[in-house]
Parts: sequence; C-alpha cells; structure tokens
Amino acid sequence: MDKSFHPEEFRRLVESLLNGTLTESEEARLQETLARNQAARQYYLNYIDMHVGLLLDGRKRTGKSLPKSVSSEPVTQRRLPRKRYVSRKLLLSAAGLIVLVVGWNYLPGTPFLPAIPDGGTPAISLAESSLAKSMSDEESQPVILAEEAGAIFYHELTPRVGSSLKWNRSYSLLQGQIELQFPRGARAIFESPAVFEVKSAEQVQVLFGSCSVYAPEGSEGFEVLTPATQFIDRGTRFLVKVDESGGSDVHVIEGLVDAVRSKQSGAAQLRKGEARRYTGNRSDVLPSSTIRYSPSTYRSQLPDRLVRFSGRKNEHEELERLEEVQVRRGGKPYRYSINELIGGDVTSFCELGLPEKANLTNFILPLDFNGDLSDLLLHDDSFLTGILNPGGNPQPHLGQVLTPLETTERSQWTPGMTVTFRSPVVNSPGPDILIFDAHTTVHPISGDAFHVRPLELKPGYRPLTVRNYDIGMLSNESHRIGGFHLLQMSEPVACLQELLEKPLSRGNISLYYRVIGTGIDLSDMGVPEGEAVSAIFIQDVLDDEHRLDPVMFVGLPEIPSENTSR
Amino acid sequence: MQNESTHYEKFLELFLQHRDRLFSHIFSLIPHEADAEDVFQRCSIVLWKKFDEFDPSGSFLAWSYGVAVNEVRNFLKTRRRSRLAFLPDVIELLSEERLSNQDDYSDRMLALQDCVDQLRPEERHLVRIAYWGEQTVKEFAEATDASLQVMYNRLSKIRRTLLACIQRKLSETLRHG
Repeated sequence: MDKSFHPEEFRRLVESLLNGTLTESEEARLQETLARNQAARQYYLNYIDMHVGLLLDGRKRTGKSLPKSVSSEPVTQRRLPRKRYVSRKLLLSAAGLIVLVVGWNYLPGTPFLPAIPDGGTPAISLAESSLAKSMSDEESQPVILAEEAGAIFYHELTPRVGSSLKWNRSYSLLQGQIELQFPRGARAIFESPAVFEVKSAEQVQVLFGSCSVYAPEGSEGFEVLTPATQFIDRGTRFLVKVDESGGSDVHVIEGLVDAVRSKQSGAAQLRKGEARRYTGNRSDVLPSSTIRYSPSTYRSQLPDRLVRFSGRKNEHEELERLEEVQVRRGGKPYRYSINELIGGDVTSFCELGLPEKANLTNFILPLDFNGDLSDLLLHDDSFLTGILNPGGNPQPHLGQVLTPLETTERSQWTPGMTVTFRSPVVNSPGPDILIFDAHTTVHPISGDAFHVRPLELKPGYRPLTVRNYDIGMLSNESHRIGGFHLLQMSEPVACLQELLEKPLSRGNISLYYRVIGTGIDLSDMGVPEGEAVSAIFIQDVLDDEHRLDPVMFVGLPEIPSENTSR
Repeated sequence: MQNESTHYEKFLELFLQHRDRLFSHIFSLIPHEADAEDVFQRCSIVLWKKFDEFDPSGSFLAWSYGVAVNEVRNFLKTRRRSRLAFLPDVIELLSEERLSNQDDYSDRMLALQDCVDQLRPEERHLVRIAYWGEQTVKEFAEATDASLQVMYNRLSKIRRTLLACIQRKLSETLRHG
C-alpha cells in the first residue's frame, strides 16, 4: 500500500465532500490521494456506491422519483401491452423516448411505465428489490405529524412537524391540536384531551377524545377504531368522539361511513347529516342510538396562529435575528419576511410593584451592543434587544392609560407597557400582531400570561388575556437564543424616564433562554375587521413572580379583501 | 417496425439493468447530486442515440461507462467551477478502477441492505433524514438542538459503520464460498 494513504484521514476528506464542506486545501489532498493511490480509489468508489445506494433508495421510497404505480411492484411484473406504450412515432423520436426513459427513473410523477420485452431479463433495481424490503411497513409508509397547534403530550416532547409517529404506541395529547397525515391521503385532527394509537398506514385507534377525519379520493377505507366500534370511511368527512367508557359518537359531515360492531353483525351505513352514539360494550343488545347532529364540532383545519418563525443564527446555532414568520390567517397559510412586518416601538413603561417584588432586570442587549439604551425601545429585527419585566395587574386596566405625559402623580400611572406601531395595524382574519418573549425553563411552559388591549379603548373594544402562547417553551418551533446580557436596575423604576436614567449593573445569566411567540387577533379585543389600531397596551397578569420579557412586537400586513373571501 | 421495437426493447432492458450503477459511476466522477443527475440524463440520451454502435457481444456497462466519462468531461468543460471538479487524470484513473472492479456491485448492495437493518433505530432514523429528504440534516439538527457538525459527525459514523459492515459481509461470503 502506498504510504501516503491514511484511510481514516482519507475517509474524513470523502465525508467533507459528501457534506459539502470540503475546503480548497482538502480538495487538493483528496485529488492528490486519488491520483497516487489505487487503494484510495477503490475505497472512494465503494464509499460513493454506498452513498448513492442509500440516496436512490430514499428517492424511490419517498415517491420523489417514481410514479406510485412503478414503485409498488417489481419491474418484472409490469408486462404491459406493448402497442400501448411503444408506438412508431415514439420510436422515431429518440430524444423524446429517452426523456421518458429517464423520466421514469428520475422525474417525479411521470405517468409512464416502460414496457419490458416479454421474456426479457428482469431489471430490478436496488431500491425496488432490496432496501425497500428491508424496512418495515411502519418505516416505508410513515404516518406524519403534519401540523400542531400548542400541542403538549403526556410524558414526552411533541414530535417535530414532519416526523413520523410510531405505530402501536399510545399518545396522550394533553393540550392543543394536531393533524396527522396518512400515506394514502387521509388526514385526522385530534383535539386535546385525546389518547390515540396509530395502528397501521390506514388505521388509527381513538381511545379517548375527539378525532376529525378527512379521507379524500384515494384514501377510502380509512378506519377509525374505538374500543367497541370500528368506523370505516367510504369517501367522506366525519367526526368521532370517544368517552371514558369506550362509547363513541359519530357525526357524518360528508359522504358515507360504515359502523361495524362485529363481523357477525355486519356494517351499518351512516350518511351525511347522521349522528349516532355507540355504547362501549360490544355485547349490548341496543348498541346505538340517534343523537343530535352537531357538525360544528368537526375540525377541518388547525386554528389560526403563529406557526413558525426563523432567522439568522450565530455560530452556536442560536437565533439572533428575525427574518421570516409563517402564520395561518383565516385558515390560509401566509409567509412574511421581516421587511413586510410593521415594527412596534416601546413608548411607555411603568412598574409600580412593591420594591421587594419588582423584577429589576429591565434590559436585554447583545454582547457587542454599543448604542444608547434608548435604542432598545425601538423596533429592530434582533431578538436580543428589548425592555423586560413591565408592570401589571391581576385585572386588565379598563380606563385611560395614564403615564407621566398625562399626570405627574406617580400613584396614578398605569403599570404596563405601551407599544406603538410604525404604521397602523389593520384587523384582518386571524392574528394581526405577533409578540415574541424571551423565556427560560423556570418560567411557565405556556408563556408569561399578559393582558393586551388597544391603547385607545373605543366602544366595543375590550382587553384580552393571553395565557397560552402559540409557540411555547415545549414547542419545537421555539428557538434558543444566546450572545446577550441583561442589565439590572439598582432600584425599582416607575417610568420610562427613570428606566433610562437610573444606575444599572450587569445581571447574571445562568439559564438557557429561548424565544417563544404568539399571535394576537385584534378581533379578540373587539376591533371590527378592517379597522386599524396604532398602539396597544400590555400588562403582566402578576399571577406569579415571573413577568413578561418581550423582545419584539410586530404587526402583520393587512390581507387584501379579495383574499379573505372564503 | 418490429426491428425498431426490438432494438428499443433491447436498449431498455440493458439500460434498466445497469442504470443505478451508471448513475453511481457518474456521481463518483461528479460528486454533486444535481450535477450528476444532469450528466446522467445527457448520458442516457447519448447512449440511445449511439446504441447502434454498441457491439452486443461486448459489455453494455463498460460501453456506457465510456460514454459517461465523455459526458462528464464535456460537462466539466462548460460548467463554471464553483464545486469540486476532479482533474482529468483522476477521472481517468477512477474510470479504470471502476472497470477493473465491477464484479461485486450487486453483492455490496445486498450487503448494504443487511447492514442498514442492523443499525440502531436512531441511526436508521438519521439515514432517513439524510437520504429520504423529508427534512434536511440542518433542519433536523435545529429540531434536536444539536449543531450541524454534530449531525455530520453522526452521519459520518453511520456511513463508516455501514462500509465496515459491507466489507465484513463480503469477506464472510468469500470465506464460506
């Protein structure tokens, strides 16, 4: 063996190549080793063959490269009528034919099955014959968590959106909602509290709670199993609710559903608009009774909310700046870049709590911050700047918000924080304002509760109390932040002016911080759709020793009216 | 018509039989997925156009490797160099190596199947993430609060395990005849 070949070092070079992290000097070493050493070339080719073997297998299984009909059976079985696929015209068009041949393998969804000559040599590729069979049904037909809204599971973290759920394993949804996507297209929305198990690619068992099913064309036959009754979809939308005794209510919103108690009793077919209650005991003489049809409890989608936010990270993979938000508004998904959002500046701050109860940590700022403290009041795209721990009240303030601008009498100032948007935020369907909060594991997992209201309370307007954030501490969509420090006041401050003028010291950071966030719908504060709000007033609920730590407020753009008609 | 049809069928049979190996060969010369796919498609068209020149008594695989190397060279001439491009000598040597060692490809792929089976569940999950495209490795790293480098290291370890496992299985096969 050539002395210049060090397998482990060479392997690291090949790994860098596959990861796309190869530097110029590494590239030179890789080329030199390959040029000089036969063992390295052999090793390299074996490594690449393995990599490509896994790659092609993945493509076939995810349906990205093959039409479903091709991937579902071995090539040798596809002896199709020759004339149907091999026309003279096609044969005369070499390029056209080859595009189809190539497309069969590498283009998604090409509706072409190549004809294999009768008696021809079986042409079974790696992916179709070997690796595909090495995976269980559970792995090859994953049931995916398609969406979640504030989901919290008993004794485990919420699976990541896009990940697959394990089969024959009980999941207890304690809070929020989730939507599952089954391989043939059926979707099931569970609303907490619910206990369920995925039984197969076409079956889910509901042990308790509410499950709304949508089974589009192609997924007919999807089954919802309950302790005593089996509901089989016949192309429809329906809702199943299971109680603690195993009894179940079914409401058929569209199409048909077969209800099966046992093989002997056969199936009872339920039609659109029908609702029946089935007992939890299979041996009951009267297993079911008609109940009031209640379609309003059926869920066709998860609620409007802040779905996700993302942005620039530092070298430790900690989020620093907001670049994009994804929200659901009026049932539709929207994606906004930071440039489309309406910034909110802090324009008043008041803390009138007892000195011993006041949290004196009032500023968060980046380690390299060299601006003026008053800059921290202004909107920017950074999650590392903000004014923390505003005052509050257990009950939301209903009168006029008083600040030093309105009165010099300190005792009359209203504890809380005013945020003024750089342009008015117009009430559109779904969330209109997003609030992001710096949070640690010792804070409430759902988020710091707060009251929020339009600063100016017009007739019909009302405060809203937010206790659960769309993206809380347990959500996979919250982000770790770092690279900041906290500044602590030496004594409690009552207003913004004092905040900017009184002595400060650097606070201690001993915990990991994450950014959580929530959307606020102006409609929930009584603001009519289409009406604009320029400023909001926020107060901590003072339900515990932890206060709100807001690091960003943004308004969402108005949705043009033609997009809101549904 | 019958002759044309038979000609086409013969080509298709050979092409389908060897397409994964051909793609793997191209990928080894242009180790970037999208570029390799591009060249693979061009190569497929050339193979069909020149299929009349193919000597049926010879090896289709060797012939298609030769066509592929030409297509790789053509591709590298026209592509702006933003990614690794192997030197002509390296391409030549890798192609020679490929031709002299092409007998055990199927065995290695079968061994790969067994070896994937033997991975731990969390390792197989990462293989899915990396190769099935449901999520990028970067997204998965973010979701699990791990750094991207940690993920690359885990993936690297899995590939090393798989390669060692394949080698071991091939050796066992040789020993047991």
